[in-house]
Amino acid sequence: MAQRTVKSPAGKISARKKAAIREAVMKVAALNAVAMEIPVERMEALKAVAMKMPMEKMAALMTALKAVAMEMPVDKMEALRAAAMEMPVEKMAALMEEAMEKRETLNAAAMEMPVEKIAILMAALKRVAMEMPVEKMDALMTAARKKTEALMSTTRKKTTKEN
Amino acid sequence: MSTSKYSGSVFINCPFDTQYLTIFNAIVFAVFDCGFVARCAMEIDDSSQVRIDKIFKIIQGSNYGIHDISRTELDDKTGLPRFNMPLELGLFLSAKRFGDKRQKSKVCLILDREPFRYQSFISDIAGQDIKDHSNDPEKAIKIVRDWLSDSSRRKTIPGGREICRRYSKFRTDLPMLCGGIRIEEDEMTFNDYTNIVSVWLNQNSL
Repeated sequence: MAQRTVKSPAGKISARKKAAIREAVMKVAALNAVAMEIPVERMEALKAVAMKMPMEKMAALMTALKAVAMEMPVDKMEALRAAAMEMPVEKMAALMEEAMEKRETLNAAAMEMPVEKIAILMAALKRVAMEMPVEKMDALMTAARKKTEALMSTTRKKTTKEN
Repeated sequence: MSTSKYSGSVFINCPFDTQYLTIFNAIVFAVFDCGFVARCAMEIDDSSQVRIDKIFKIIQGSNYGIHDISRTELDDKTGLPRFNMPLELGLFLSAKRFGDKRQKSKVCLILDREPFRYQSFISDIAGQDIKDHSNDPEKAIKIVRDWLSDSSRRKTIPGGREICRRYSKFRTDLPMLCGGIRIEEDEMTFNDYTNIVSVWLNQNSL
């Protein structure tokens, strides 16, 4: 079937709004692409964490995350996406496992944090993310990956020794 | 107005209340996904222009017209019928009947919520093909798609189920898209909505 052309609307809006719509559409497409590429097992692990989170906290988190995602330039989002995609499933699973082991402590801390504080935290993170150049974010992601690997290696060694 | 602009324009004559919004939004999406431009009185943001003049102008500039008479009913407060939609349908049919060669090529689709309901308040249109959408957005999309495909004979129009799938995806993205331009969904103007639909369809091309 031949390609159909999507027409521009007859009603006018400001150039600024039009540009904002274009950017929002591209960002949502990028986010959707990430979601589509996440393997089922990774999604399941994420779901397990999400399921334990109380509703009001989840809602606050989603609102904050949404705001971060919408304000992030597309190239920054692409860099993040690439970094996330590079992490192997095993590493992600190990991370999740570690988090689950520390669940009690983490949960206790998270549970004690009021929703407003989470919002403040997210707003601060948002500011940092927005001001950070793509290269720095890449470097940060690489450093974080290395640190996780080192941590996991130490934990494994410790467990072997204890056994 | 150029011939291509005229032949690609679809005048939408329907209620603008919040109850009807789900059908209206679905119809507008379907029109754009079929490669046409949805037009209605709300696209002109000019208070100095009289409403009926805006409608004349859009009717004159549209080869196609979708007329939904499903809300022709008695108003709760006044006890009188709402007759804007039948009036605009009459204007469209008059333009086709008395207009020039281009106006005579006009084609229209009449929608109602139940089959044959129109016969009790606008029986003069009996003989025209009136479709009922049963207040179901998916059904409305498929009716609009089939009608545009048949009357325009374009070969580029996707199938009804495909448009419904895309509309469902678009509805999922819409809250985030609104967030991107810092408006709530219920604050969207007709021009906001049509621009979002058009840009989204271009990004998510077939």
